[in-house]
Amino acid sequence: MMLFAILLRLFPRAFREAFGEDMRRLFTDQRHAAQPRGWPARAAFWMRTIVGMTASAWRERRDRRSVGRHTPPIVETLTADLRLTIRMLIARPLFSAIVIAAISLGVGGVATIFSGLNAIVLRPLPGALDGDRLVGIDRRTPDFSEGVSASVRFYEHLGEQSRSLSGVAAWSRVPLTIVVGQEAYALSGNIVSDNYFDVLGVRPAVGRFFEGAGSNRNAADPSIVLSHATWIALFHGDQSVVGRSVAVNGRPYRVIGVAPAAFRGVFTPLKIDAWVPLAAQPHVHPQRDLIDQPWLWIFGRLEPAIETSQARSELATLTAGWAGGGGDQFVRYTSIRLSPLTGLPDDAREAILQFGAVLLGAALLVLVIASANVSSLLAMRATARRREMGIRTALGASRGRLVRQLLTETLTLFLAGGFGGTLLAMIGTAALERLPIPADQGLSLELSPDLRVLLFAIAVSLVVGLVFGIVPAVRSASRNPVTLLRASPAGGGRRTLTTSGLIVAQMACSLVLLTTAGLFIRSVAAGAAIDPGFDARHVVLASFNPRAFGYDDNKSHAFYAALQQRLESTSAVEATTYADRVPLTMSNSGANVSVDGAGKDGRERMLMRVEVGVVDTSYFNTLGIRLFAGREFARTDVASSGAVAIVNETFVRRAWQGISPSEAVGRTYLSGKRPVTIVGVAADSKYSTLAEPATPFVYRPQAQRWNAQQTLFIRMKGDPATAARMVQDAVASIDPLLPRTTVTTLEREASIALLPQRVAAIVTGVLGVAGLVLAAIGLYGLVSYGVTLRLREIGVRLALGATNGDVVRMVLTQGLRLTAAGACLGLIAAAFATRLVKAYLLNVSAMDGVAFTGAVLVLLAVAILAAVVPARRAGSADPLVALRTD
Amino acid sequence: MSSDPRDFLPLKPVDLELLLALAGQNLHGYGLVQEISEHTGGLIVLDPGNLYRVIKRLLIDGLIAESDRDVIDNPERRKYYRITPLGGRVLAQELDRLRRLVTATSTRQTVKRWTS
Repeated sequence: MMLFAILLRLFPRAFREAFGEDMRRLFTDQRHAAQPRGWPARAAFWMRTIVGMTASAWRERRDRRSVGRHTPPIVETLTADLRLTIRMLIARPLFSAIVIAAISLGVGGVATIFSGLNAIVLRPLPGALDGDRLVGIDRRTPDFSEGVSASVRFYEHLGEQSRSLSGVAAWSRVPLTIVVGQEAYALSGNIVSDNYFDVLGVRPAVGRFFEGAGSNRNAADPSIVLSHATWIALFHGDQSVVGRSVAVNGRPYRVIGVAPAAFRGVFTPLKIDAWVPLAAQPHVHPQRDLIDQPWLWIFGRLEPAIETSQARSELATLTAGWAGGGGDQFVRYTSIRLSPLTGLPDDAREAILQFGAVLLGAALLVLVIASANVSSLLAMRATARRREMGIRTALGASRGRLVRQLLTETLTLFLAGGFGGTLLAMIGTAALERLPIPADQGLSLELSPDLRVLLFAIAVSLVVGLVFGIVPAVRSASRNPVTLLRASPAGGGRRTLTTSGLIVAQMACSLVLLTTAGLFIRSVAAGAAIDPGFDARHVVLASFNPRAFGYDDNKSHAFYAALQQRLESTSAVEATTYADRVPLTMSNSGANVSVDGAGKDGRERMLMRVEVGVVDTSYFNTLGIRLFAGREFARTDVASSGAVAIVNETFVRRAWQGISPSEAVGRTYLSGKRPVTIVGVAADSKYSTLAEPATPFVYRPQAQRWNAQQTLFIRMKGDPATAARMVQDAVASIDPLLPRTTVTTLEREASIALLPQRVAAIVTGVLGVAGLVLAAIGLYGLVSYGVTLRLREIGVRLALGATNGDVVRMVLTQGLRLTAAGACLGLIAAAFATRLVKAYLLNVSAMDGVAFTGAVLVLLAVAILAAVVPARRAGSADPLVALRTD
Repeated sequence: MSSDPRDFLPLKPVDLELLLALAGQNLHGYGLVQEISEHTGGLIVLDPGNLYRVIKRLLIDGLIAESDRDVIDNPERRKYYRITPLGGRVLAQELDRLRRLVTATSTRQTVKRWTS
């Protein structure tokens, strides 16, 4: 009945009053008649009623309109405005195209950045059902400053106890090797609780997902779920793969299903090829008992009608109880932070949001420049249309009516620009996705715009259109018809003043953009110039995880030894070593050590936070790191001999003030309760990031801190490009059933250290150029317009003996005065704006003179170019022609 | 408003059906829908909007009118409609036109050619 009432409302009031009651009766009768005849009859009845009523209502209203009675005036004017607008825009295709292009460019930048942000941090998890009900669960200290991953037992505790979440799931990353036919492939896998897909609400594309509610760890028959991409790549989309057995890390697994293509895991930028259940942990992660170790990420789905805050307080209580009740050793981590599960860990999410906000600000500047351009274009055209406005006013058009018409035109243009901008964002995000990101191949970005981006772009364009369109609209409609009709080009004075103001603003915005871009470019250069303390040239890398091959520790040792031996026998290789971390890739692993004999009097015991790296023999030789004293690790430093370490200068300086490196050799520090003897002191180098401060660093020998996952470093004598083939052949000669090794260079890997600066430099550079071009076009337009307005004056001057040079100089000065004003304003604005990007600058001051001077010079050069063309045209004008112009 | 029946010809199929239905008896909305549906073998089933648009048009043209039927027979006070004399003439003319159309020699030949 409700629905019918709504349908009835569609009809004109008069019609409703005449027939509404009868229509209602008829409807009721028909419904009763359809009722007993089953649902097909009922569906047909509703279909007929809804479609029929809507169509009739529309026809009824149309009929009345054609008779010309009682159309609401607002609708009528709007349609009239729109019709007129479209006719106007089509009549001046060049003007419309230029304006729409300028707005598209401005909106395009904003939409591209927003689209990227949207894809990475804002939109709910792709592929998941009701993604906004999913929350990431992050165990933290009460002040949220430090976090710890979940252990299996902690995860089970939350899963069993929580009432505010309908399900809690856990996952972690795991490297997998899968053998298909005779070929082995290295996959990046996830190990997940059985309810992982259930909680996410993901339906399998083929087959099924893991069954069982908990974290069953003892399944005898391990199963694997493939990603859609892996299924296509390795099995050519063959449905019959489900149920088949494949070798995973040296053991048979049963393929039970394929995930849908849209689902890209919980951290979307990481590529995921396959999922194995938590039950597979003893096989794929055999190193230690992981029941009490923190290694899992957890997330949950909120029960209906439960708020995030309610769930948070419940989980915090559970966590506090767990930590207080001796659940594990992480007693300080008593609190919980919940964050929307949008595809990134919480910290990364915030960092990217802040970084994105900076880029978005830069993009907004371009939009402002573009809009200012459009605003002056509109103002100029308004001048050209004064006669039209005058006639319309004289014929009785009200001022509001004219303003509305002009605004409709402007907003239509901006709306088109909004769509154009979204199109540009598609191109822009595709370009961003292809940015050369040197990280491992496990990264896959999908940034393309969705409906949300389109709506955002349209909203932005309409708001900007209103802001920049209202002044020209009100302005041009406000004139007295008599003045308007006396159409003479003079009297554009006030308008030129506004336009000049806009040009100054554009120049200022451009300068801010250029300065920022300059700072980032300088940052990349300065970053590249930082001496990392090691020699990355000619060093190639290959990482291995023999566990993923199904190797035990003995077999892994043998593999590494054999590989090293094979490679060192090659003439192209100068030296090789293994290490557990690659410098400058933002990886870190820290520890606390205590040092005796610290302090001025040498009697204190000091606790010190250090970074730790585990390296093989000849690490320092291979990477070209200087040893100030002592020796490299030797084959004799084995597990059974005394614990030894090599420390860096900063370690020595912090631990024992004023002693030389050679004095430090032979001293000991305590790792836990165990004394470790220092056998060497190495030069400081950069370990995690280029910007890091001097860090105390401890190297431990591989034999004493064994970890199956290692990276091979090879210093090549010859061309590093030949190394890939060499390493792959060597690996295949040891075990042909190993996946193809990915070989890269240390330079390439370490360049990720400059990634934020590089991305920022590219993005702000592109935006800077776009802004500059737009501003130059604006300046060009204004100067040429000025020349047209002053043609008669120029003619007089030329006739009175002014030289061409005088005229050129006069026009140029006019343009450059505006540029200079803009540059001054821009410098002030830039001084503030660059503070916002300070955090992302490397070894470059936010007030860097080179960047500021460079930006001003570029701006001036482009401004001169933009002004000189119309100036020369003015200079070469024929006084006779110029004087005759009206 | 014209009073020459020819001005209304040819009738729209729905109008024709409605006038036909009312020619036999006075009917209210639901009765009309049912009658038309039966008569056309379910080909034309009108929804309320459609029906009353047709009714409105025929009322304006003066082909039908509200009937003043006994309240005793019509406790719900539904509106009944009747055909007007003009409506009757229009209907007769239209049926005559259709009859001539159907019985014309050329029509019969066409029918013979395309059926079977």
